[in-house]
Amino acid sequence: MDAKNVVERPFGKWAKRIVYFGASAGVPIFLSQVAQAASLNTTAGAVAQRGISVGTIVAVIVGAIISVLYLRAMYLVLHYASETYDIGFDINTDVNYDRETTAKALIVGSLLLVVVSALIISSYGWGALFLYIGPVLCLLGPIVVIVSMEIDLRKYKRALRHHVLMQRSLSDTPGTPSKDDQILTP
Amino acid sequence: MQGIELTAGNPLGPLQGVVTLIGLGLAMLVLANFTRAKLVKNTHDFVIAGRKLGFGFGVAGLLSVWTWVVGILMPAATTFSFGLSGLWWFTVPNGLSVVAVVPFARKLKALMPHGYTISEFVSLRYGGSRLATIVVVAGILFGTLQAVIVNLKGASLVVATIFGMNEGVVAVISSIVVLVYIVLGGLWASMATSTLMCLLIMVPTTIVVLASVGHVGGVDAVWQVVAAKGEGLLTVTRRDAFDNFGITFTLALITATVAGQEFWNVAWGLRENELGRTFFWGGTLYYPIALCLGVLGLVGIALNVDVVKDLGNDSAALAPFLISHLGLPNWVIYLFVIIVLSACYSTVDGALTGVSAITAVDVLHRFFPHIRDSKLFFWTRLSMVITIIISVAVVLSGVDFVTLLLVTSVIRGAVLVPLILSILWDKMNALAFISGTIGALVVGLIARAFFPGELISTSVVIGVSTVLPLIIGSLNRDRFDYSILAQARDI
Repeated sequence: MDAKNVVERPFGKWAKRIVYFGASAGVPIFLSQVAQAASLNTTAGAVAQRGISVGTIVAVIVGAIISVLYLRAMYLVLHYASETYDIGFDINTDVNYDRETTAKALIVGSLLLVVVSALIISSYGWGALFLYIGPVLCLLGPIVVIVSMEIDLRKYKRALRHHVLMQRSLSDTPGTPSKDDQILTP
Repeated sequence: MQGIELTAGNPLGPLQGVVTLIGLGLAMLVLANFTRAKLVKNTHDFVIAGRKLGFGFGVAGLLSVWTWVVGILMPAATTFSFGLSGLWWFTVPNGLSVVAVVPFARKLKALMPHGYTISEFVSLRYGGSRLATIVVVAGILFGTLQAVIVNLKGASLVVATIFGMNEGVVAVISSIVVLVYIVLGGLWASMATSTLMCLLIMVPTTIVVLASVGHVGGVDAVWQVVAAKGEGLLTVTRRDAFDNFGITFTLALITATVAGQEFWNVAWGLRENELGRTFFWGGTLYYPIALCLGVLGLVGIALNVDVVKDLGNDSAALAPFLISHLGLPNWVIYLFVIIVLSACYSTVDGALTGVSAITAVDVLHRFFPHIRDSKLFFWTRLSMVITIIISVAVVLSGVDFVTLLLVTSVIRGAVLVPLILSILWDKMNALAFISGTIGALVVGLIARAFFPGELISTSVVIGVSTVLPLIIGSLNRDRFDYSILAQARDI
């Protein structure tokens, strides 16, 4: 068994994947139907229908999908953080980390931040369609967090694999009592 | 914008308000308990998350802790008042203030990897000087009270108006909700719940703004009306926006982050090598929220909302006013309430973790170094309870806490530059630090008493707190050996 297969992925089963995908697609569709029904039931329902624009419905659907992915990532981070609680991150988890490059990237990034935000705000004055930039960025913002959590998950899994392999090599050492392999699942 | 009438809808009902407050709290409680069960095994985990915070939770948690209720209401308010110039001067310094912590935090974390609080750093830096430590602790505690009071007050106002509830009741329920879950899990609970609240802020913000814009006829209708008004509303070069926000506002924001213990909690709680990019993205993600909410300000302009008649002379009331007067569906209004409560809860719980760190490290562990872990845990949690009690008492009393806020701003402003110099300059000594902070504090309070506005008092505070330490430090022949900071150990 190679290093990649040492730690069984908690969502490795196909049945779980299908349920998960179904929830991602089904939940937003269901919620949008409920929302539409709820808005019609209010005293301001007739007027409120005007407020339920296509853009709003798209935002609800996309937002619900992002939310499911976000919550999944949160759960996995907490799970793996717990599994690696007693494991030190002694292995070099950031083989490419370079302080000077990071510092320069930070300065460049900060400058870009000012320039881009200024441009976006200015663009609000160029035409009506530019007013969508802010809401689109806000809706997609959680994707940054999802990606960040995925980066963490990779580190946790690497640390776990390293730990399990170390345990195996210790148990394979002559004279050392054998230990059962620990396949980690939630 | 024809056919759009701004009329007050019926309040949603106090019962719905209580259910919303408690419902959101229950969700946070479940998450905090889950986190506690998995990850909080001792006071070290409680106070600093065992120094195991990762990139993802760090980014989302930082964003939520930084996004006050004010951060939700002000983008629309400043755009409404000053057009795009107001949005620019409010938004740009906001995200940068979080990023500004990075160079100081990276240097300090490298020198003092087992640190917890900036007051601990000041104490070690200046040979245990009590006066220096007291000044910094005072700044932190006042800052915490400020954060809790302002957020509780802001959220109470919005929720009470929408649900027809008593403000005091909202404040009490909100504070109990936050206390219950944060007392369970400390920094881990704070960051986990703040991560969830990041999602609850960003996605609903988009939906609420798009629903509002769609309801009034779409972006084209809004933009055409605002453009027709002229007055530089769609430019970023208005002078009055700069005069109102400009330098003093930027300095206030940087002070809140660099001298804010809740940010240093995260800095020391993060895993190795995560600090730079975590703070960068944590600050960056505020921009989309502000850019999105700024569109509501343009809606207010287009609908000719009257700041005196409709908003009680407070432009910060624009967003809640629009949400409750446009005739939007109830589910959109609920989403707005969730945004406001998420901003409130996440900031308050972040502030409370700052207090817990100060209590554990600078008070209990310092004066009772052999205290048992169980007792340390108990008193650390109790400090959070005491902070909430004081804050709620201030909010309920109806006392004008503007004075408290102004004093807090002066104290924090007085600490900012000396703190930075302490980190970066080895000739800085205790005399320079104490003279700079206390001198700036005294002169700053006098300036505030005699001169109206923030510009003069802020300039005086920053000036005195910079010049005095530079002069005294220059005369210092000794240089501090920063390797001493490595003496700090985990509790």
